[in-house]
Amino acid sequence: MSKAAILCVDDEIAILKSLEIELEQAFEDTYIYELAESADEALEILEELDEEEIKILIIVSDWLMPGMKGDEFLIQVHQKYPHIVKLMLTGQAKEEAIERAKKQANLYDCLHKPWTTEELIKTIKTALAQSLKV
Amino acid sequence: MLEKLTQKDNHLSTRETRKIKKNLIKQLELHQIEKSEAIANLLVSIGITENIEEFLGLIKDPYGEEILKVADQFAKVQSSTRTIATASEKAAKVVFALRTYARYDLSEEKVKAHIPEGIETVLILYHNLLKRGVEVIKNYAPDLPAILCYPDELNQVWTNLVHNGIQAMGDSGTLTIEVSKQDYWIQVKIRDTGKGIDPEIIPKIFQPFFTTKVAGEGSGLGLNIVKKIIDKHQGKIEVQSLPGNTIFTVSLPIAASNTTISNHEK
Repeated sequence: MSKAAILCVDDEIAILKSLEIELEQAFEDTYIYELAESADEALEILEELDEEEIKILIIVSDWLMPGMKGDEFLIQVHQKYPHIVKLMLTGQAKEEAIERAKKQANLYDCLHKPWTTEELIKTIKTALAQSLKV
Repeated sequence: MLEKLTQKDNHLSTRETRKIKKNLIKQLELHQIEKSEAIANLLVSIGITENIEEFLGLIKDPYGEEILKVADQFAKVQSSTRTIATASEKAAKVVFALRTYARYDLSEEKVKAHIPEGIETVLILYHNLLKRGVEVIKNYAPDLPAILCYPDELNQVWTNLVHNGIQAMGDSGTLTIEVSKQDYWIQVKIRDTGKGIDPEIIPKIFQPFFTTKVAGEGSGLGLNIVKKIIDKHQGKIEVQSLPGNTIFTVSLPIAASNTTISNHEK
């Protein structure tokens, strides 16, 4: 059974939980939902899933987190997993950080907090549809 | 199960959750339960993290998954309610801090205030900047007396010193704030582990319009205002700085200000 996963990264657990609920409601058990409280933890999960041969389709990452910031994290991910769709969800990313992520991590889009379920799900759906075409 | 569901108050980190989930999946597989992953997800979400034996009957029931799903919905309503409560508490804290901060007493009369309270207000406002990687160590001596002062103006002092400290440290470091009583003074020490101030410019830092920042970024007035406010309190401010260890020490008299107020009252 090969399943695909969506990974959410944010230092606030309340945000992660809300994202999980929104994703579950939209996609039910089509995907596995993984949550990470920091970029470091997310990288760990990426490796674990890699070993388990679970494919990560999309990463939704915060920008402002203790430790590694979102742009840096996504750039790192991009070097190793260029096929994963990268999405930023943030309240206060600097313009240059978003630009950097767009250039160096092929950032698909940046959503701003507070976000709505509709825009989040719509963005994920179109992003996934596009990435499947390529 | 309902009991578990309602007492679920412990916040598990995502790391712990993943560990528990894996463990549950193993246990479920031992009992030859299909869809072990989906069931494990539901169990964790409901708050069942171990001893699945007591729920085995339910899990194996043909409607087991459905029942767990319903229970999970209940659990989610509860945890979402808690999230809303925490979020509004946080918002309330910031609004309160802003109101305290923005209130400006025009009466020009000193009031009794506890110094650490003002510092706390400023720290709440800077929470977002601080959480990026600055560790804050607070060391307030117990039973500090309230002193007669201009609390709103002192807030500006703390804001400036905390802000400068954070800027000096860039992304990460340790900000240590100590408040203690030294004889007749309340002493506030704000220490950062940032790059430090060049010894040559230390004598100039309290001068108006002196800034090391790029033109347009700083007014050069911050520390001058700080100095003026402290002078108004008949206090002292001192700086010691080495790379990685800069300390601003503010001393405010506990009693000197009493005389001014008693003159007022007469």
